[in-house]
Amino acid sequence: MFRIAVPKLPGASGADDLIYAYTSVIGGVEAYAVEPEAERLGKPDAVVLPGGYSFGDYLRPGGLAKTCRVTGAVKKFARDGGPVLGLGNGFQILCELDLLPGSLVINYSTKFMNEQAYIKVASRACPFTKHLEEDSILKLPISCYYGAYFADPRTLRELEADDHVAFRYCNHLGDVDDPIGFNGSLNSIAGVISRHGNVMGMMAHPERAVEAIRGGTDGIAILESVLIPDAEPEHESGAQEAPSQEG
Amino acid sequence: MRAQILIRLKEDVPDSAGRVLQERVAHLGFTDVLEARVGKLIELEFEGSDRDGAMNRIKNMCRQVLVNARTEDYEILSVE
Repeated sequence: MFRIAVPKLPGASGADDLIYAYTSVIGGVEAYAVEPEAERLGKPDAVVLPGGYSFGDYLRPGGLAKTCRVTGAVKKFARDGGPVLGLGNGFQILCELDLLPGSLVINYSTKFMNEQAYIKVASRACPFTKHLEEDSILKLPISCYYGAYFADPRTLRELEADDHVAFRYCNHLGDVDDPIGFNGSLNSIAGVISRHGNVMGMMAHPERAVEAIRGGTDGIAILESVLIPDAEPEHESGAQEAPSQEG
Repeated sequence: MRAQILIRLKEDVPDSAGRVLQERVAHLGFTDVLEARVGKLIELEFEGSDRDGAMNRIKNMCRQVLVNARTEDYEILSVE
């Protein structure tokens, strides 16, 4: 069975939502919490860092979480090519750990934003977006104060050139044209992918959008994407394919 | 020994808190304030009296946890 480790860093309140989404809604998955001072992740197939209230925002969001021992195991897993997803505070932590480019700074409005956001799929070059439809629009809850994506100009250029912007904020029609954007994120970036393509972070919360009764189910496709095996590469035309029985 | 470390957002990082602060002091009539930037001051109390050693440890702490070099600059204001 596919195993998902959910490191439960101090302050993170989203671990239970995430484990519930994987085990009770999606199913066929073993998702389990890992304590902050654990040295090992328990041989997972993927790691998902949940969101929730951030630990140590008074310094920087995610800044203190990286002092927890388990983040060493997360870094090793990611550097060995394992799929890692960070949601909300999890995204901030992955930036602090240098597993993702850029940083999250205070929302342009300086307000805590707790609302539904529309995001558009901008890249499928990652295990968590590979089965999404390009340019499709997802409605997901967002809940953050440090949610505005920032990166220096060179990093931004590289992200765009490498197709590593996973999602952009948009309106319900999919338009991405407001200069301030949803919350002040540069280039309206709502999620990014690492240089090697195996790590992704996003501020919106797919784990909170898995049941219609809770406002929508658009989060399922993101959480599920990593579980779906890649299709077998197609044979080149004419190469040793069995003749069709149907003629 | 006591050390003071000033942490500021880099110039090119949008400072939304500073922007709102500038707007609100202007609202109170302080219209000569053209810009505000918001940072942090951290004070550390140290054992011992080895100033150079303390400086090195502070720089190490700044690199490891106190400062995010992607968005922030720091200055050690005093170690005494």
